[in-house]
Amino acid sequence: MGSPVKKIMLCSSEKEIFSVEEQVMVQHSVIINNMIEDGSYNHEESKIPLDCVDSKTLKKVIDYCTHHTHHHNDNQEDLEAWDAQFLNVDSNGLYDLLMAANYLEIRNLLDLIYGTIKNMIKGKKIDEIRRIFNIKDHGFTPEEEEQNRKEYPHFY
Amino acid sequence: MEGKQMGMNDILPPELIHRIFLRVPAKDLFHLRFVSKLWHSLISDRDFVESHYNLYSAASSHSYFFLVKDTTKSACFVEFDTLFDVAAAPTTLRALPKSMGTWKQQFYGLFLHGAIHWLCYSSKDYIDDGILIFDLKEKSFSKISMPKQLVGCSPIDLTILGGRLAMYSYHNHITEIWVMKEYKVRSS
Repeated sequence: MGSPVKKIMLCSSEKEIFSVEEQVMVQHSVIINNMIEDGSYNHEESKIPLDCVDSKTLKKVIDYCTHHTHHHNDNQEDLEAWDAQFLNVDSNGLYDLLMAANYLEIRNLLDLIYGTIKNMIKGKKIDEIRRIFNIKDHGFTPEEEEQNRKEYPHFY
Repeated sequence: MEGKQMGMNDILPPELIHRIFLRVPAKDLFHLRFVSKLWHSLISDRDFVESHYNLYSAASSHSYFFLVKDTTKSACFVEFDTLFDVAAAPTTLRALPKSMGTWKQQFYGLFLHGAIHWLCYSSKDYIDDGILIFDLKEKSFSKISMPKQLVGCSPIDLTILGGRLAMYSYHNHITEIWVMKEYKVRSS
């Protein structure tokens, strides 16, 4: 009954190969969907090279797409809880995911990450934001910085 | 992580930071400009302001909008009550109660002829004094400089008299009123 699940191969920057259900990636990634549709992916020999995505990040991206493909009927609360747990990573992990999602054009993951970063910024003072996002070199001259602090002390 | 401690600005391309900012409401963007010079330039960018405006004005009836005034290096944030209902009702605009650079900014803009008018004057110099006009349809600014008679007067207020723009100043028990008979014609 039914044909075996079609798989595609994704290759991380460390040249590690990940075999994923085609349907999972097609549903989530605009780029991969286009590659399959226009026939540029050959199931016998192709691997999709993702030179700017490391294995750790790629594994997470695949987890995300797989979960959202197989659990899209779950209730909203469960999915949100899963997403929150999924994004419980350090800020560098978050940037890596953002860049990978951007590269592969995974829109719902992009929305999720943008929303998370937006919430990390919301209501925070400038010093706090600099700490959270590790912005050491803000680029203002000492005079400008002093002027800004003087003019808007409540922002800092 | 490995080697140097990298921050957001080193890792993420500006284009992605730009997209994060597109999701942030204008009132929060105001102070984000002071986080770093890169953020400042991204947020003050004309195209960014335009995209942000389009996103937010379409998304909700209660939108924030913000304008960037290059001359003062300062931005002014305005809260519109229902942006696209402005034609129907006189709109009250509330700028964040924070002075703009050297300007004293009147907090309420006046709505007339499809544009919003703010009175701007400074107690230090009078070069930039006048009425700042933002045309909602054209989304463009223009300015009417201060009428001679009122230069240097303080305090000054802006109002609408009989459908015309008017300014008045009250000092030393004398009230001077200046009414612009023909819209946007300063000499009238």
